Amino acid sequence: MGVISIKSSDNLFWLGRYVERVFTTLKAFTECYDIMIDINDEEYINFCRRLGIANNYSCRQEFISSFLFDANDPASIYSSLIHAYDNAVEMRNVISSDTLSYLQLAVDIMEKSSSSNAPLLKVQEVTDWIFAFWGSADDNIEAEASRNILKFGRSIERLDLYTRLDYPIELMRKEFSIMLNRLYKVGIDFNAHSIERLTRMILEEDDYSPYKFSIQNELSQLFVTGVM
Amino acid sequence: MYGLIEHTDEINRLLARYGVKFGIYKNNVFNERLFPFDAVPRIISKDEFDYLERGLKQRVKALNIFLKDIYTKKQIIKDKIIPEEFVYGAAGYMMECEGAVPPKDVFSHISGIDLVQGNDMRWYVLEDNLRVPSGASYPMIARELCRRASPDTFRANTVVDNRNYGDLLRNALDYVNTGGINVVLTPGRFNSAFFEHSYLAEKTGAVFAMPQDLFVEGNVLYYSEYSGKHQRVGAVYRRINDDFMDPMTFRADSLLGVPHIMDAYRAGNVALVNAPGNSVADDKGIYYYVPAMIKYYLGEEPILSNAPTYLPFYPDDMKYVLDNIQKLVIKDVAESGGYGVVFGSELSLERVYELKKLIQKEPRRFIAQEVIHFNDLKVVENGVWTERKADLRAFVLMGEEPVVWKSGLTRFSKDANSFVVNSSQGGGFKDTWVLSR
Repeated sequence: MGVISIKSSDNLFWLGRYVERVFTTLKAFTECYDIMIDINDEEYINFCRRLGIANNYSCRQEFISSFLFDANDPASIYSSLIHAYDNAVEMRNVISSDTLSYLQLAVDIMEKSSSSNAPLLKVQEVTDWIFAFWGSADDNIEAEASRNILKFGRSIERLDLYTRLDYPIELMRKEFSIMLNRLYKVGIDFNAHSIERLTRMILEEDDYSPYKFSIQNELSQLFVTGVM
Repeated sequence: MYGLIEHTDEINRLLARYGVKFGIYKNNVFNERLFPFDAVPRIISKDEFDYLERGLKQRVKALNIFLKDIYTKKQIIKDKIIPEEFVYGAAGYMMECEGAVPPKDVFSHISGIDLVQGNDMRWYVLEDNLRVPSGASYPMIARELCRRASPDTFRANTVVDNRNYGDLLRNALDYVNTGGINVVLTPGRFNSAFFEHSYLAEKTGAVFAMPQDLFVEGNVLYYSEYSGKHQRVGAVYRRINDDFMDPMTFRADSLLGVPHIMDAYRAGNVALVNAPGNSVADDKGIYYYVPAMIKYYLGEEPILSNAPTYLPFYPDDMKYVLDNIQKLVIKDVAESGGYGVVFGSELSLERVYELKKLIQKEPRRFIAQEVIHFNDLKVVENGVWTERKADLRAFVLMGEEPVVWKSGLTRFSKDANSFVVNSSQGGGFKDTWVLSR
């Protein structure tokens, strides 16, 4: 096991969460963007409600530019990517310069795309670099514990977003099983009561939708690193 | 080499991709900047480097003995080689380090010696950086990318591989390690050299730590793991200035330091790399005395020359400086990073008058140097060959014996007429090739 501190484990966890947030919200945004072309101009209102973010956008066009690229919009994909980068840059020695470089490339693409008249064509590359990031992380992170914390963060974020975006129960169960495996591998204390409650709501109930907020709440309490 | 130069833009793009940046604060706002790379290398022949290597080893040996001497016996002061006010009046002298001798007597584990080559092809030492010299990571990563860009260039030229700096640094840490892990200690993400801190942690295999990861118990330094375990730390490559390193010893308002780390150091339980108190040797006033130091401690003639320097502290030098101020460069001894440097030729008569008065009032505060006419180096700017002033920071790592890294950081000025090469002033950098034959 590599030697990492509480602060580093926190960085890894949030790195996993933010990279996943960029990935999944970008995917969801793309669907919303398509609907806004010729089905519903105001689909973004729905999108904000589902994600649980404030709708501070005055129109479709403002939503598109702000949600993708606005550094001052805490909900934007760009903000999430910068948070991911800020966590990654502190972990260069654990994740490797190569792995970090894929996030730098994603940041570069986001910054270049903001002036494009076809931004979705450009930001496709962000998804590509995120896939490369995960491949590189698998290859270059030597310590299993570090890898697991990073991916544990990814699973938590994915489950959180899946509940918000009403993903099918099968996908929830699949990701929850992956997360459980990882949790036991990480080898740190976790909130066992939360696991019990999550197991009941996700694996034993046919429909998780009545428990969405409870699931999000339990997920947020699962991994406590001690860093504020 | 042209095969390499044609890929300059791509190499710079790759450097950006790898986050090769430095931070700078302007109006209290932190910004990260890319450090522009020019692919035309500085080339140093084997014979020339052999000469530099001998001189650098000699200089660093003497400086290391000096540091031990002034914090213990002070023989060089008693023998009146250096006036005591130059030691005790130096901003970098730390009274708190009196009597503290680091493991294996190594004070300066990593020394960054700044040199320039005059147009007479002679090398001059411009300053010594024994506190926390930075910059080795830039040519190291640049070389990696240059080799990818133009393998033929490196097949055709016998360039010594410089990518071993991480190994040299690890060896230096291992040599003084008192038992435990090696740690690279950074003050944090918003330090100007954060890229280098994290990159060197990666390349040395040391644990990368922030101050809150470390604590001292029973005069022993530990690293807290997330699992709750504690690892003993044997050597800390600290990239935090002395003032901020331990709030119990130095600045009480420091939030960057590790409380009681100096107690662990004084007890001989951890090596701090470089040793606290070293910055007295970086002082531009002390620099003047390095040739005398070499003769005094080693009984040898200095191999490398200082730039011709005058201390207004001495009446003869004062007279010379006042009479010739417009052809000299005046440096404030407490400043660094290209700040506090004034060229007499660029001053108005009014400013000359003011500066003369200031020098007379505070003679200890300034040194004056003859302007060295640099051997300018070629750079390619926007596809056009031109020339820039450049210096060379050579790195000497101390183990049982000093080792000179066979490369160095060549920095060049932003503008053709500027002598200031510091990255914080907008300059760029080059790789430094040392030829193996």
